[in-house]
Amino acid sequence: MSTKNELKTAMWLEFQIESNWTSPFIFAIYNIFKPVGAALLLVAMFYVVAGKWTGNSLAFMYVGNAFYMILAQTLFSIGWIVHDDREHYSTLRYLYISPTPYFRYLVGRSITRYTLSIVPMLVLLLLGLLFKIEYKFNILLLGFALLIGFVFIVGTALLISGINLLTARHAGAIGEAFAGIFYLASGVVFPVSLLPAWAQQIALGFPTTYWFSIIRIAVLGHEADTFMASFSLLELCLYLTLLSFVYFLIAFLVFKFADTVARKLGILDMSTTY
Amino acid sequence: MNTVLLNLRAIRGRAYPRIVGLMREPSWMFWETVLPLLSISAFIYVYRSLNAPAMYEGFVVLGGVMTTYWLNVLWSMAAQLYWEKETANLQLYLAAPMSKMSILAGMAFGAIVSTTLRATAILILGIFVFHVNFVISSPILLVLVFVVALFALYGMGMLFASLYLMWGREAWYLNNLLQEPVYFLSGQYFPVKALGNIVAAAASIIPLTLGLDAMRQILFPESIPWGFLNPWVELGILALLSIVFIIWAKYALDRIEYLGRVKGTLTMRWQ
Repeated sequence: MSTKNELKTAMWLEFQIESNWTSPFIFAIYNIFKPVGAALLLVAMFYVVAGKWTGNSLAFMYVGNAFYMILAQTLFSIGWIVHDDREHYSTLRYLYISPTPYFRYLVGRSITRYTLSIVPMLVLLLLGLLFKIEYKFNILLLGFALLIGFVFIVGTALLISGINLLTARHAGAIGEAFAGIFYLASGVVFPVSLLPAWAQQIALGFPTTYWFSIIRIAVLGHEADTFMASFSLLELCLYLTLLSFVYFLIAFLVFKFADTVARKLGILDMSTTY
Repeated sequence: MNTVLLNLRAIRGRAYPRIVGLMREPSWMFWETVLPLLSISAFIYVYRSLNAPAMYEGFVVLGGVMTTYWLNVLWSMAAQLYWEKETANLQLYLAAPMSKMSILAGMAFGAIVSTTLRATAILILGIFVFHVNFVISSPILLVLVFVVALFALYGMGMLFASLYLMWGREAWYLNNLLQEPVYFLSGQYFPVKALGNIVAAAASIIPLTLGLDAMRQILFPESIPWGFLNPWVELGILALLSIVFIIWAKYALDRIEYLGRVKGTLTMRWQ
């Protein structure tokens, strides 16, 4: 089977698993409701303090949160694949011995998950018009951000999958941990400049920090975070690209290592009934 | 054997693994305290970025603590019988001689104990890391509201556990859906009155809404103008909700078990 067909099959499988539990209409509603709930939570928090439904601070956190949904949904969903294949459906051994390398299978499923996560982001951006968010789209820059974002988000998800090959019960927690760290330290819903100095330095080690800054420039036309505004757009793009590919490489190496250890210990298809 | 004694033993037996499991699997001390603290920290920084008064940070810590219970209700109560079905244990429960409500009650009791330990850890960390000040204006009312809210929450969990027996994977997705939208509707990190009286009234079906609102008014007296209802009224409604949910759970469990037997879906896995 060619690589293209392998990826296509894995992508189709992910779409089926995510959506065939219900009708397409209900699935579309479900895919949107959760991110909208998270966005409205932030809007309500803004309202109780500011006493209004519009403002620059709201635009900052709203746009950050909209794109954060892509990251969170992908990390969480892909993080569960190993656990699902191994424990719930008991299909991991069959997938593993199929002609498609398991890593490539995970990449294929990640592509679909990433793409599906873009839809609610678009809905959120549309909803943002209700709160009078002034968009100034730079489509080229946005496209670049989404493309490079795919690299590090899927890379991180595959890193989590690698770790899950060796663990029994922490599939969800590990994905949540990564998503939570990025949420706190990457300037998603508040400026990085608010963090303590030591945390700001840690934030600079995450590709997400540069990603969200580029996203804000691509969507709102400017960067309101004074800390990140000290970087030029070119620097942001370079750091994002470099860190994304480094993350992907690390993810690949960790996955390979975890795979080797899991096979050595004989726990690749362990069943813990968890 | 005396039926009451049998059911009490069932409650103890079902609560046992949840309580003892805490000691045998201590990784929760990291995963289930540090992880919630990450999102709590983020929301506190959101309020700081808006120059909000300090009490709002207290709202976030309180909301974060109650989130622990809500997630426990969803994943350790509501989805539990679904998981048992997936792991082919459900028929053992159904064939057991005790009332299924006692099994659910044992699950609830064990979950409350284990979750309270986690919630306390999160509360202590939240207080010390972010220097949140709580002013307990009425300790007795606070304890009553907290306990009755838990009864109502876990009663709701028992009801969901019954309903989820009807479903396959829909249970998992519904549970996912009942997270962020519920945080918004129940005013997890902000006074629910901000959503308007109609939305707040509708959201009051979720015990978290009134429980949080009452506790906010008790712990932060300056937030009373933002209170939806008087805390005593909210306590009364929570008590009513807990009775309704538990009775409804009993009815739903019996009905759905009957339907499952008739349709042959009780042992159907991977749906």
